Amino acid sequence: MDHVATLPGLESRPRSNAWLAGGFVIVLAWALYMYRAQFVSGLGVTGLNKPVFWGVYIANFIFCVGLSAGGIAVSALVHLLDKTEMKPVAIMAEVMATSFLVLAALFILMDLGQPTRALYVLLNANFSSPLLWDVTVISSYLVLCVALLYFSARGELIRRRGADANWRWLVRILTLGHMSLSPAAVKWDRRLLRTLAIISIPGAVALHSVTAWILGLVKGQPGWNTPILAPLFISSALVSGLAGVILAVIVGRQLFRLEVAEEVIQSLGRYLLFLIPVLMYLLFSEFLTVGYSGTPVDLEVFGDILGGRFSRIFWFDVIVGAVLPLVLLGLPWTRNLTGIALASLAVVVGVFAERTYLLLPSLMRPAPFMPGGVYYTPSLVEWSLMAGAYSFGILLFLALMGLIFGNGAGGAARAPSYRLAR
Amino acid sequence: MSADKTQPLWGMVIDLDRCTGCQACVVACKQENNVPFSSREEAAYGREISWIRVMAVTEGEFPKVKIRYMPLLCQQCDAPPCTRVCPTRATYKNPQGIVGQIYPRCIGCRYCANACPYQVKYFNWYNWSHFRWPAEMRESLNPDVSLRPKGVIEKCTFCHHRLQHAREQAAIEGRPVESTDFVPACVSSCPARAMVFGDLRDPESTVHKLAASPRAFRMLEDLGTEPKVVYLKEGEWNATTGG
Repeated sequence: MDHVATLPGLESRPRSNAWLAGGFVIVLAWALYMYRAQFVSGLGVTGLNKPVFWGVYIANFIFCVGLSAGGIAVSALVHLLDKTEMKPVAIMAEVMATSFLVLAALFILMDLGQPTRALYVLLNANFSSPLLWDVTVISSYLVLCVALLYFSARGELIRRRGADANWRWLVRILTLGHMSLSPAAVKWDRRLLRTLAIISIPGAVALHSVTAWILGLVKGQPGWNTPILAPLFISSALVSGLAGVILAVIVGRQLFRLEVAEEVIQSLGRYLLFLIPVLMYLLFSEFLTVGYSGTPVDLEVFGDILGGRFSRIFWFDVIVGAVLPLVLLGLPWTRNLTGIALASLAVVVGVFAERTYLLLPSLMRPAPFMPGGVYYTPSLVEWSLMAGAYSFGILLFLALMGLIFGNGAGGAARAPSYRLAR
Repeated sequence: MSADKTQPLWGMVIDLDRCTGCQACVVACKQENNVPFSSREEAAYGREISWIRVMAVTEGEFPKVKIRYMPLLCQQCDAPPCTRVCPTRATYKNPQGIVGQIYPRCIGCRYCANACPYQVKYFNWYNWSHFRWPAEMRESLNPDVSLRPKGVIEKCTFCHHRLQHAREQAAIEGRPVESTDFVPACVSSCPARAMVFGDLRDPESTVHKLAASPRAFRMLEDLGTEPKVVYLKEGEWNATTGG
C-alpha cells in the first residue's frame, strides 16, 4: 500500500468507517425529527415567506442536480475515451452522481407543501410546466445513472466480492445471477457502457438545462429570465461535478484504499483548471450585459449581488470559488494532491454560493406589489434538513462505495492494479 | 380571449378616482372566502393571506407628495403565467376566463406564486383548518367556500361560488347567465362604487364601456398577460383626459 499517497494527518485513520457512518446517522435522525415538525405544522416553520417562496431547499436541489450531471459527464468521458486506468474514477463518479440525484429528489420533496401528493405531477401532468419536465428528466436520468453504475461496477463487484462467501448471495441478487467475467461478457459490458455514455451526455445537458429553465422561463422575473442561465448552469454543473469527482476519488483512496494513480488525479485537476474560466466568462458576460444596458429592475437584482445583501456570497464565490482554485491548480508547486483537494473543495463550495446568489436575489428584490422590506433567513428546520439530507447522501455514497470496493485491504488485495502503463 | 365566445368573460373595472382606500373590500373578501387570520408578526414577515389588498402607492417627492390607493387582487389574466407553470394543472383558467385553484390537487411547490408578476397568489404556511381557527369565529364561516389545508396555494376566484349560485338560478329560469347576475364580495361591499363587475364581452355591460375609457389601463400590460382587471387612472381634470 505504500505507493498509495495519503493526505497528511490521515495516515493513522482506523480502517473501519463505522464511526463516520454513525455520526451521519445521528444527524439524519435529528433531521427526521425536525421534518416531523414541518410535516405536521406546515412550511411556516421555515424562514420562507411571500415573496421569497423558494429558499435553501431549492438552492440545494439545483446544486445537487448540478453535481450529478457533472459527475455523469466525467464518467461518460471515461467510458467514451476507454481509459482503463480511470475506470475506478468512472465508478466513483457514477456513485456520486446517483447519490446526489437521489438527494436532489429529496430536496424537492422536502420543499413541497403537500409532499404526499408528489405523484400528482404524473397523474395530472401539465406539459407546459418546466417542473413536469424536470421530474421527467430527473427520473429518466436516475435510471440512466443506475444503469451506468451497474454495468461499470458489475465486474468490480464480482471480482472483489464474488469469491467472498459472506457477500456472494448479495452479489448474485444484485447482478441477477449474471456473474460471468468471461472476455465476451466483459466486452458486452463495455459496449453497453459506450452506448449509455453516448446517451448520457445529451442526458446530462437536458437534466441541468431543464433545471435552469424552471427559473429561466419565468417571465418578468429579472435575474432568472435570461437565456444565458442554462449554459451558465451547465458549466457550473461541469465545474462542480468534476471537483466533486476529484474529492470522491481522494476520499475513496483514503477510505477504501483504492489504487488510483496520482497522475489520474493530476489530469482531472488539469481539466478543472480549464473549466473554471469558462464559468467565469459566462458570469462576466451576464453581468456585463445587465450592467451596461442598465435596466432598472435588472440593476436592482444585480446591485444586490455585486454590492448589496448578497455581495459577501458573491465575492466569496469569486475569490474562493474561482481565483483560489485557479491559483492552486495553476502553480506547479501547489498542484499536488493536497492542493488539488483544496481547490476542488473550494470549487464545490463556490458553486454552492453561486446557486444561492443566482436563485435568491430575484425573489428578494423590492417587489413592486409588496410594500415594506423583504427578508429571508433560513430557519433551524431548514439547516437541519439540509444537514440531514447531506448526511443521507454521504451515507448512500459510502454504502455504495463500500458495497462495490469493500472496506480496506481485504478487497484491494484481490483487485487488479490500475496503472497508467497498460 | 377565451375560446368559447358564447360564454360570458368576467372582468372588473376599478376606478382609482373613486377608491378611498377604506379597505371594505379587503374585509368583505376575507369574510366571504374564509381567509385565515394572521398575527401582526406573521403579516410583517410576509405570511399574511389577503386575496385583495389595498396598496398605498407614494408618488412624487416632498412637498409634492401624493398617495394613491390601489386595490390589488388576482388580475384574472387571459394568458396567465401561473397556470402555465403549474405541474399538476391545479391552477387553471375556466371557459369564462376565471383563474381557479383546485386545492386538493395542489402539491404546494409554489411555482405559480413565483411566476405571478402581480404577487397575488398566497401560500398556506400554517395548519389553519385544524387548530388555529378561533372557536367563536367558526359560526361565521361561509359554507360555500372550502377551508384550505396547509401547504397549498390559494387565490382570488372572483367569488366563483357566487357564480355557481347565479348559474343555478339562471338554469332554473331557463336563460343564460347574464352580466348582472352576480358580483364578487369586494364589489358589493365597496361604499364608493369604485369597483364594477360584469361581462367584458357584452357590449351593453358597464364594465365593457368603462374598459374602453381613455383612463383605462391594465397592470404590467407589456408582459402580455392580458389581465381582466382594468384600472381607471385618477383623472387630472384636464381637456385631454376628459376627466
